[in-house]
Amino acid sequence: MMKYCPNCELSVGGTFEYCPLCQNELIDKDIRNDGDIKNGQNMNDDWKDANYYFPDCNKLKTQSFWYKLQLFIMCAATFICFAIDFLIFYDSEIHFSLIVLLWVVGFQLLLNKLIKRHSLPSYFIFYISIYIGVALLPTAYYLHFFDLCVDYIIPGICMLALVLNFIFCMLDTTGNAMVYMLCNILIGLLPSIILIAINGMAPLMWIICMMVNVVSIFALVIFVGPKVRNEIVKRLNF
Amino acid sequence: MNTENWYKVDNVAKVFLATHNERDTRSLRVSCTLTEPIDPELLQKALDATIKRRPQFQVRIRRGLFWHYLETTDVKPVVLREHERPCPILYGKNYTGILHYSVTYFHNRINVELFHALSDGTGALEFLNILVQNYLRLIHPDEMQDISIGLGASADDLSQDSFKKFYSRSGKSTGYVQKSYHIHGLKLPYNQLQFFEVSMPSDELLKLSRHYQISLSSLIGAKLMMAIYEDMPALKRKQPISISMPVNLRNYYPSETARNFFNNISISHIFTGDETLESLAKEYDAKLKNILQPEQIRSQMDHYQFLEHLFFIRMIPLFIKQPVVRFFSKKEGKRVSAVISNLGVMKLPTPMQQYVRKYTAFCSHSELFMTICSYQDEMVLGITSGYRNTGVLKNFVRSFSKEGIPVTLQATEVVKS
Repeated sequence: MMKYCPNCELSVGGTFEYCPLCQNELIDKDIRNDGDIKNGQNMNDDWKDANYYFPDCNKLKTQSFWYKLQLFIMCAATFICFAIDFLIFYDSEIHFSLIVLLWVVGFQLLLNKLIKRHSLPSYFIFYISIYIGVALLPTAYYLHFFDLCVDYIIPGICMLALVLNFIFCMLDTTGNAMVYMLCNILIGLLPSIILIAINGMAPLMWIICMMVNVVSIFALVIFVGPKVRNEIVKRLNF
Repeated sequence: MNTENWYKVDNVAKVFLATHNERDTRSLRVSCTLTEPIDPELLQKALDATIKRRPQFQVRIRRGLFWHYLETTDVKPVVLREHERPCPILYGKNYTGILHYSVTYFHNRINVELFHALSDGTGALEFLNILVQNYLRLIHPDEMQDISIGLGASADDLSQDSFKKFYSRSGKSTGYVQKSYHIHGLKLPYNQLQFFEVSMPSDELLKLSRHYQISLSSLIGAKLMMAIYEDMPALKRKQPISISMPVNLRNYYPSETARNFFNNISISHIFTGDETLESLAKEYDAKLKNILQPEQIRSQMDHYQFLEHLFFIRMIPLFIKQPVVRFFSKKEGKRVSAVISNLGVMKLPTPMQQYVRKYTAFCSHSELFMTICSYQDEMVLGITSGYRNTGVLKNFVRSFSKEGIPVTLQATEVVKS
């Protein structure tokens, strides 16, 4: 039996106690007597075993307590670093709190990518290697290992990301890993080419990185050449 | 995974891809209610047969440097019991699925939910009808053997970008439309939408529209305008009320595409306070007939398509285009008070009719969207509202019940605090 809103003069299905339109109390009334719209059957007959015409899906998604807790600790720690850095040791040349902020933001981005189930490993590796590279530069400058970072650590990260992405690209079933592999190659090749173009030479690790990139291009072209071509055409469709 | 086949997204899809969000997911639902409970296993079999006949929805949306594109996939859709709100998230960073459409069931109802970038209401309804036909064929094999749904279009016709095909460079701007009144009040919390299904007998509504000598769309449009006007604060009553209506361009061009092929037209009116339903409905009907002239519709379509052909727009990277499209869509949205989409009268082969009770459709919208579906002697309005305030809908529904038309209302429950 459907309920009835005497104010709106309409029959209301489902489990409502109050009219969804005017919020007045509904009354029980057998609409077959006066509101019948379909050959003696009211629409609730379809759902006689159910309470709901629409399923109850009001469970609101909330973030987990542990996620919120770590976020709170990170935010509080970053703020304390800022306060110490700018209010107590305010005359320092480089503010370490900015570097802390950079790594905290990076960690939160990483965590968000990890939480989302649909993040591809190749997508994850590509973006995280870029972020680590970017965050390492000011950190290395602050901690006085900038040359080591630029000459060895960053090309090392590029190579590691490339090797991992190559493996993911070969194992990929979603058809979306190739683009990250190609972007990885671009990022690995560009610095070496620029350094050689400007200085006529590049540090050893960058040269090795360039070699690994070129070898992976050969591998891609030989093993999955049409896919590479197709991927470039699709992504650059004009 | 077949990634060799891909095609560009159409002009309308680009807007949906740029403007979807948690509340307005830019997805639509078409539902068919049968006379008997749904068997999920048979529905799965029917769906497997349907995607062989209509593979256009078997795609994944990918980002390119300049535009999105659609890539075919052989991932099989799985039939699920309805467990989410109508028009759920089917694309974007919070979407964890692969396909951009889903098929669900709930008691007697079969739902097809679809991200609007893939197709429009016509395409979705055709897919639903084929699915229902395949399902009924499995349930009642003897009665359904000789029936066929669909116009027999080729695969190329079905996946055609008709905007591009029929673009003729003759478009002119349809003129400036001023900012319209927007329903006042707070939106529902937690990015929710409330869905209302209003059922009324078609014959009584037709009797009413014939009495005013207007079309059913004009009657509903005029009644909605009156309902909005009644809810309008006195200080804003000088603002125009505009009802936007999607127009199926297949009625104007020889297209059989299963992809998007529609344009929006707008009917505006500034109330003086002297209007009666009859005078407003007649004015609405006259404006609608004027706008629906084939020359006007063709000119408008060409005008929108023109932008896509400009070289300097095409060469802008996608990450810049997206916020620009979002900005202009928001600006365009300010010229619309509510949207009414008439999906028309559903016609099925005679053997199927005895097993189908009704059709319903919903389309996500952050403000107010109404779909109209008629089947046999029942007309169903699928209303989507993002507002806490139900004043406009109350005025609208009461305007029918006051005329003695029996109204049945179903609604989704929402969290309001």
